Amino acid sequence: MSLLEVRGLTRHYGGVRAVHRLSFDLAAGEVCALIGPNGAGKSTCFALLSGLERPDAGRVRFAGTDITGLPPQRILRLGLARTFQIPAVFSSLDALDNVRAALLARAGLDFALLPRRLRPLADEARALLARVGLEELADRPAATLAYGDRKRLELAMALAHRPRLLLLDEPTAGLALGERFALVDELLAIVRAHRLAVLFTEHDMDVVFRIADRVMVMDHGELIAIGTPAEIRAHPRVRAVYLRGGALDDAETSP
Amino acid sequence: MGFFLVQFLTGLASASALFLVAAGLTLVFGVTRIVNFAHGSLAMLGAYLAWALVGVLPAGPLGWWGGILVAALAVALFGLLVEVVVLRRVYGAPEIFQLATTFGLALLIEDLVRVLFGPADRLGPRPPGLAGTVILLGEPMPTYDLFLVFVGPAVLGLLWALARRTRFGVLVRAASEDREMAAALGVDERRLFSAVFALGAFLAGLGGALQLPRETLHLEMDLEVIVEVFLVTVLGGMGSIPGAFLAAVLIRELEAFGILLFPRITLVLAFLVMAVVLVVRPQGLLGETETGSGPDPRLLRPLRPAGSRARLATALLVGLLVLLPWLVPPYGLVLATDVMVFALYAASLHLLLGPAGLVSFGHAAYFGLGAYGAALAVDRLGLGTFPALALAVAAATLGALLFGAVARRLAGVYFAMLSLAFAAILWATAVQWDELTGGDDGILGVWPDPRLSPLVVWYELVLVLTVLALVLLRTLIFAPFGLALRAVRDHPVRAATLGLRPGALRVAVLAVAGALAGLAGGLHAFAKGSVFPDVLHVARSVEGLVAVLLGGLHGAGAGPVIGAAVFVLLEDWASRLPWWRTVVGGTILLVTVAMPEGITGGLARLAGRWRRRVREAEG
Repeated sequence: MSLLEVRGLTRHYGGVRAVHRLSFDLAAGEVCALIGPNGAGKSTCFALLSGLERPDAGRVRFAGTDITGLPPQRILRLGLARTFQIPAVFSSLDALDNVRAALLARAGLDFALLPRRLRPLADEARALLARVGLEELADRPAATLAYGDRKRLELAMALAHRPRLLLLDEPTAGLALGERFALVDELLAIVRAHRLAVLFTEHDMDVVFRIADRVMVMDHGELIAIGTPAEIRAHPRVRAVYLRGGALDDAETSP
Repeated sequence: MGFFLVQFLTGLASASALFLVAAGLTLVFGVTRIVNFAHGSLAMLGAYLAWALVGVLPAGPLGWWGGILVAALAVALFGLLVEVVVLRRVYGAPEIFQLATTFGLALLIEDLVRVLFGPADRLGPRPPGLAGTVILLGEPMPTYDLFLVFVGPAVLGLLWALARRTRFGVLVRAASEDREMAAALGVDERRLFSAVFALGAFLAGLGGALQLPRETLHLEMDLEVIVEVFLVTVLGGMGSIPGAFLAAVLIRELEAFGILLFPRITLVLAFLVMAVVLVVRPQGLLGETETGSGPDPRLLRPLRPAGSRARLATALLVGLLVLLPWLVPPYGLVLATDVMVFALYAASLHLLLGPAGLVSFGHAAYFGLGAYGAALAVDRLGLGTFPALALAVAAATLGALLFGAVARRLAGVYFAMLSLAFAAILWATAVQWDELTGGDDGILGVWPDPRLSPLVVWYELVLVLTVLALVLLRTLIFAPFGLALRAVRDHPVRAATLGLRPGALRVAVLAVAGALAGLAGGLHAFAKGSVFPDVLHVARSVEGLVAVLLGGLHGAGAGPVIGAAVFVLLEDWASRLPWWRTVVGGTILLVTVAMPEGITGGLARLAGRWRRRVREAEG
């Protein structure tokens, strides 16, 4: 049985078909890329899956539960976490408290009124920071972290809920080339260690072909191709969408 | 039949004037993202100027219409001046500073109008030619009102043409929809903002001036107008001019017919309609996006628990306060009680403004509910002091929960405007419902139990309750609840996708802040022995705001206490001056423009500099 089943998912904004009749499946532990030109509907797709937007039509099942139109908190509790394209962290909190804020919700402590109830969460928060390589920066306000470190912090916050599926919106956008691959490799190690499924959007084809088991291509709100990296590279419609296929030909095959 | 027609048309006539003022506010907001609290003051200025000009200019249609037009133009010029001198400095600032700045301006303009035109009420003449009445289906209707019915749609049409058919309109729309894009396209933002603000001020001035023959001019017009304009713009959707028109008509018709059914509570009716609309559409009838800028990183550094030295200093201060009755004369003790009650009130507001990031401009609502709750408990129910205080807290908490249910999904400026309107409606209710509240005469004889009434005993009781409440506040801010609040403030969307519940947290923090403000209100009632509607007045909300901004937004409780102390002492001195509005308004401008970190922030910065210098000297 697939972990995520999307059937006919549709969201229009006025006359714009942001997402139109999207259907696909995702298996547990699978790493799947969602690519397409700007405005293809990737971000809307993420917003629909994570509960930030409600679909006009279609259904989403996650781990056997119908999550269509559920609020983000409920979807998260079922094990579907996400990150944002521009790292969304709590700027005024230090790194440790960012992760603790994430843990609070899972522990059902967000209305607890005694400061000492926070203490037991510190060890787990530090462990999560260590997993993304931020243990040294636990006391730094998130606002003062480097861009790449904020991306790592966001990942730690998403992992706090022990998700089974991670939605990563452009995990490497805005990072320098060297940092990009370092982050991707760490990410892959975490994902493999926990058997997480990942659905990610990405503009860098090198990254896509390095880590994706499968690639989906969207254009104008519709899914136009789905397959292994090799199949996608050879797909005529995908090549047409990606202007003369240059971006795809230059990409290396993942090992 | 004729009666209903005339009632309907009268509603449309007053909707026209309201729409003009509201269109100015919403236009300015669309481009500059500033909610101008002084917009009602500009309308008042227009009305008074028109009154003066019509009196001076030669009688006849030319004199009358000329007076109206020149008044509106003068307000436009005044607006331009204000924009260039003051507002330009706060465009980049966080919302709360922008709102507070324009609030300060409103106070200054009220004093200006008082100086120029005097405190007496004024009534203007009708324009020659439109002074009579017409008979519609057997009912008389003023010709002038009939004329006004057409003014609203005409101005709506002109604004539409301006937006669609002129280069200026294209620039305005571009800047409203995408500021960065407009800047990238080479729009001169400074000139555009000035021009838009002048146009907004013109509309306010015109709207105010056209009311001249219909309404008595008085110095509280600014507040009356701004509350209604807020209701209209929030209901219509901020930035939407057609939305403002629709909402103005809706609210005025509601009043025109609501007054037949519920003569006392037309404002309450308008508020209820708005509550329903906002629950369904948080962005208003025709509004497109919710607004809300992020918190200002300058102010919102991580909070750290107090060090041992700060704890020791606090303990010493509390010890000193316990001994105060034996150190100062009775008047000093009265003043100290005032400071503590006000500090409690300011600290409860700080919880909303600081850690929760909710820009409340109507905190007097909870203070006033507490004060009236306690007073009614004593006066009507004959309860003792402590049960009365409990009732005060309960009444304020209930009010906060009610407001929270409506406002929990609203962001930034919407929340601020609605909170102001909520408090203003409670104030109007307290003034009008004299069977319950005694109206302007208030409720007298609210004294504490005999065993509590000696000055020293009462002072110590207030001290204990205040210290307990402040400790509670501080504990909450550092508790998981406070952490969750700060997370929601920093990034509500992120918080929601992490499983925190922004709406529920906002309602909860409103309840806590409301409860403590209610306690402050109850203590205030007993300290004064009486309650008047001024406990709910917008001035009370602003006072709290000034104290919090004076003390600094950052931190977990020390700021508002220091700010409250400074403010009460300043006010004790300034209230003897006829110019207190100028003093308070000027203080607000000084704090928001020149000292955004407040007293505590400024002290912390100085201390840091000093410590560095000592370290350098040692190293």
